[in-house]
Amino acid sequence: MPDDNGVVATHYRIDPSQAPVTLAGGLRAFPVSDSRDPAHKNLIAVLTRPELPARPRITLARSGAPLPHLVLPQEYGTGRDLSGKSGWFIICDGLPGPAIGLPRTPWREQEIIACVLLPAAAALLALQAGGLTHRAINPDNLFRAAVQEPVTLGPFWAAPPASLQPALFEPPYMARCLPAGRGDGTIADDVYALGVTLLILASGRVPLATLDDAAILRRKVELGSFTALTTDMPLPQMITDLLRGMLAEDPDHRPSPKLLLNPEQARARRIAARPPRRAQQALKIGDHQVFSARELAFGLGLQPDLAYPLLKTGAAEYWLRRNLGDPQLGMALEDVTRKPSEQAVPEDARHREMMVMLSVCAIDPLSPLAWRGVAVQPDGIATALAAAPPEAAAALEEVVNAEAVVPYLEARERRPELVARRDDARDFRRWLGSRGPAGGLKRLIYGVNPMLACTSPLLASHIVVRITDLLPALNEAAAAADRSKPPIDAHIAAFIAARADSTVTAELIALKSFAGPAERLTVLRLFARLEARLQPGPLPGLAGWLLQSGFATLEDWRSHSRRGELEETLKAAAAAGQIGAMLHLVDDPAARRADEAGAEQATARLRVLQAALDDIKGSEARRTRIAQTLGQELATGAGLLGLLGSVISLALH
Amino acid sequence: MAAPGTPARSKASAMWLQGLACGALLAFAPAMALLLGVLLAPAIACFAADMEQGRGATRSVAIACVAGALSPAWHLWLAGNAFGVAITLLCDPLTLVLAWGAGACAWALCQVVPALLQSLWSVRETLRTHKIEAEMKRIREEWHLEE
Repeated sequence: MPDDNGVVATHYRIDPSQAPVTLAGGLRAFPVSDSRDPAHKNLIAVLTRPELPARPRITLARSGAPLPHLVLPQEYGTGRDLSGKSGWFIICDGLPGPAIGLPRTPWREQEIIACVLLPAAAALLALQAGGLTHRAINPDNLFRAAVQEPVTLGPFWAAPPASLQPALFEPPYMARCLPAGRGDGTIADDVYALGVTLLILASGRVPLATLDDAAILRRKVELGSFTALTTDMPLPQMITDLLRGMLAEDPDHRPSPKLLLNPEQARARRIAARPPRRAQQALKIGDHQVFSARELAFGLGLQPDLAYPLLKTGAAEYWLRRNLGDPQLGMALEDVTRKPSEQAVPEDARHREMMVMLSVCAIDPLSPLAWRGVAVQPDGIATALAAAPPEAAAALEEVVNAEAVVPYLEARERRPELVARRDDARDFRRWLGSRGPAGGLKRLIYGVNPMLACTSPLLASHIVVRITDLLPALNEAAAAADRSKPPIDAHIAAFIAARADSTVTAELIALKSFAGPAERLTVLRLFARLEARLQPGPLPGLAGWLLQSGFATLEDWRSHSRRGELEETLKAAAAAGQIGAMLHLVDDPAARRADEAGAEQATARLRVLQAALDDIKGSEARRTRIAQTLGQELATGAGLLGLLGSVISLALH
Repeated sequence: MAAPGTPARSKASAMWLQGLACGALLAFAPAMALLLGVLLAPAIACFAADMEQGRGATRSVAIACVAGALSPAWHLWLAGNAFGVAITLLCDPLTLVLAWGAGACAWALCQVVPALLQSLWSVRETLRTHKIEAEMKRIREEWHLEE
């Protein structure tokens, strides 16, 4: 096997003389050169994390047109770093310089605006025009060649949106979500992250640095982002004015990137957002006291077990009406809690969770979809499923099964464009409900995350994101695999069902297991079709694996001699790595029919022979009788001859 | 009770007729009866010993003995059925050897021929059985068929 360490995406070689770069969120990037164009050296290969799929819309598009102050992917593919560890790499232009990181001293106002705000706003404007978001703006992901140079926004496509962002840089309704479930969001969420970045640069320190993410989130919910982050921070007035808009709770109140290109206008823009009402008397949810509607929604979503009694008894509604003095909100909540249930069993867990979710949404329309304490954005469910821990994954499974996204979106009148996700919800539920090894949660996860690597243990360390990489990876993994076990498992089956076209996967989806001979033949047929479709070249490892694990077997062939001949041919085909040829030998209907006919003829011949054998054994008595009769007749004949002789003799004398 | 005309009645009638014939022979030709009684003694003994249906051996022995006794009986008849001639004939060893030898030969044929035939047939059937079993084994192995 050739030494392919350091080769990524087929054409790129990692430069061993340069150290890898650590990007925001811990991602690593390796300087690479293009073997097709050695002169083009300023390239990097970003190594993605297997559990965090790259953003498909951006990665797969691979736009050729450069966007200002942005690093865009050019190519992608599997590869190995210099130590031989395989991974999924995305190639992009090299970064202009180091990340600006956390400043040791406050930046000057002019430098912030000229070097950060204006280029970042231009980049966001370009992204907005393409219907994209960045969702990874923070000081560790802003790069520049030298002081006074404009920054470039670093890679944002190598992981799900905002999945690597600290809670500090996310608005509360995003920070509340699972990191991988924050969804694409809107450009206003990028403006928020840019605002926090400006705050850090302008103040020279990180706000709320001593708090963890949960505490930061709670502080933002209690005080509002602007107050929570800027209190006691020394800021120039210009930056303060900008941040008041950029850190607004409501994304509609934040300035657009286009407006940010003119900072004077942006600072002068005032959206008269009504300050949130605060109650004199707190409502207790467990150990926590809430004073505002947003805090109530946050607390109810966080602790659904405590929330349901408050909602069912009307305590929350009473508090909203009497203590907070917001009868409209109380009425909205009443509409949810008193609504006749469509559930067959109103008191079941799903009904309770649905009521809590809709109540949270009614109290705070900005809140994410909260289910059993787990929060996600509707467009982040797919990526959240891929990276969620088991408990959260179970809650997300319930969300999909209940199609909770639909009532959630119906309740959120602020985002009518998201109603298009209704079809997604139905597809998700259908995939989740599909049975067999190629169905269920794995089918859903691979189906909704086109850039998620297959996590089958059979693949060992090989990274497979595209269906085209699957067969070569299995072929290589076969060398170290236990070949008595099948070369397919539920992960690979679900992966194929999700990524291959339906003409290949129709039989696979109908499979209930890999145990029976018919099922094994179906798997062999599947691999043969993939081989024919993808043309990966000879696959001796995988073919041998299929042969030794019994997926390419002639055991049910009736004719011993013909089977012996075919087995030799089958072994030769496996050695040559031709799965299609193996299938042709194993699954040849005409030859099978001839074999069956031969077996039937043999059975008939056996019956004839057995009858002859029985006849021989049964004819002994008859033979004895015939022999005796013959002996007696012979003796009688001889006697008669003697008698005749005597008569003649007497007559002559 | 057997119905009229049945084999049992016919057999009884035949026995009665045979008895009548023997009685008549004893009454009208006692010398002939003596000669035939002695010369056909092997047939009579075989008749007594042969329990097989149809008494094929008895028939063969009787015919052979009759062939051997025909010439002495003819001479006795020509000699006027005299007891002295009958005794003389019976004292001639050749007469007894011929009659009894013929009966013995017939009896021997009845015993030896079936044994020989059975041996030959047994060898032939054994060879055929082996051939069939070999073919059955080959078919079972070729086609994986259970016995």
